[in-house]
Amino acid sequence: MRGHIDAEALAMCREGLLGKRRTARIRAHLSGCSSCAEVDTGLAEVPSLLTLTSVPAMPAEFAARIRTEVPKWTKLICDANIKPE
Amino acid sequence: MPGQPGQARPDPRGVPEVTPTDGELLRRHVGGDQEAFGLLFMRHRDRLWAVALRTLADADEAADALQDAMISAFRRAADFRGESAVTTWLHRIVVNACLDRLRRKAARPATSGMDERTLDALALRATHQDHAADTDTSLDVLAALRTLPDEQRAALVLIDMLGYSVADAAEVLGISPGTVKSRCARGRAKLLPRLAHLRGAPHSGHSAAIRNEPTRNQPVSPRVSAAEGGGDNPA
Repeated sequence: MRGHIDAEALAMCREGLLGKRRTARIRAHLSGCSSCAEVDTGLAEVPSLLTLTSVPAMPAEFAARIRTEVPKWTKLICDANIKPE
Repeated sequence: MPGQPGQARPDPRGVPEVTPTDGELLRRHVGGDQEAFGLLFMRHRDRLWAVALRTLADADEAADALQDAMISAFRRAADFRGESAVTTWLHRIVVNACLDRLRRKAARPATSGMDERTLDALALRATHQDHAADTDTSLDVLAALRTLPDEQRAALVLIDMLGYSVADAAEVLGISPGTVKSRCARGRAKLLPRLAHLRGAPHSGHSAAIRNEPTRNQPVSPRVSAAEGGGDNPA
């Protein structure tokens, strides 16, 4: 394999989405190319980098608003059916 | 019921205290119970919110999408056939509402005037920012996610951020597991140059409530959390 492997091919390979021969060629390349191996290691870390964000809970006032509105939806939907747009 | 063999803890009216399953709540809702849908919503609100907020990358858009999705679920509850878990069904409706919103936004870049809902949403956004306490690291990650095509972002939000299994994400997104994997792979390849500087950064660690840490080793599946066993009480 000449040159380097692009990150997308490496990522697809990691997911097992490439054929056996291509996978084998990529693995062989990785064992001898520190530059591609570095990209491959970086790709393996992306999932954990994505967990560096906070995942906030739903704001309480929004939850309360929906909760309050739910009982009104029956009427809303009923009215909407009576008067189609 | 642990510790009380033979007798369930009775409530004051002598009825055994049993947490209704998601399926039971949905059936009650279809049967005309005014409270059931609200309970179902409250049970799953944080995960649904996380999915909408991260897919849309915008708190007021997320609030609108989630409200549209809940109205849609409320209306279409009778169509739920039970082939998937109730939570998977709810997630699917939310994700579709988000992707629809993104498509419409792409088709119509100019926004209309400010109406009551927008004002509501602005207030909500201010509140959200107050207690989001996002670090620079977190903001970098969110900015990088925004650069992705919507469908790649939606897949990565479910799989990498929220720890869903590929099978569950496939069901929520309505695509094959292979497509989920390839969208994740393409998304990760695009994200790498934008996230590389964060390698070795400390974890923010205040998202355990939604991710059910440890995320990476023990993905939280919506099927498991629904499992007809009722919300937060694994059977």
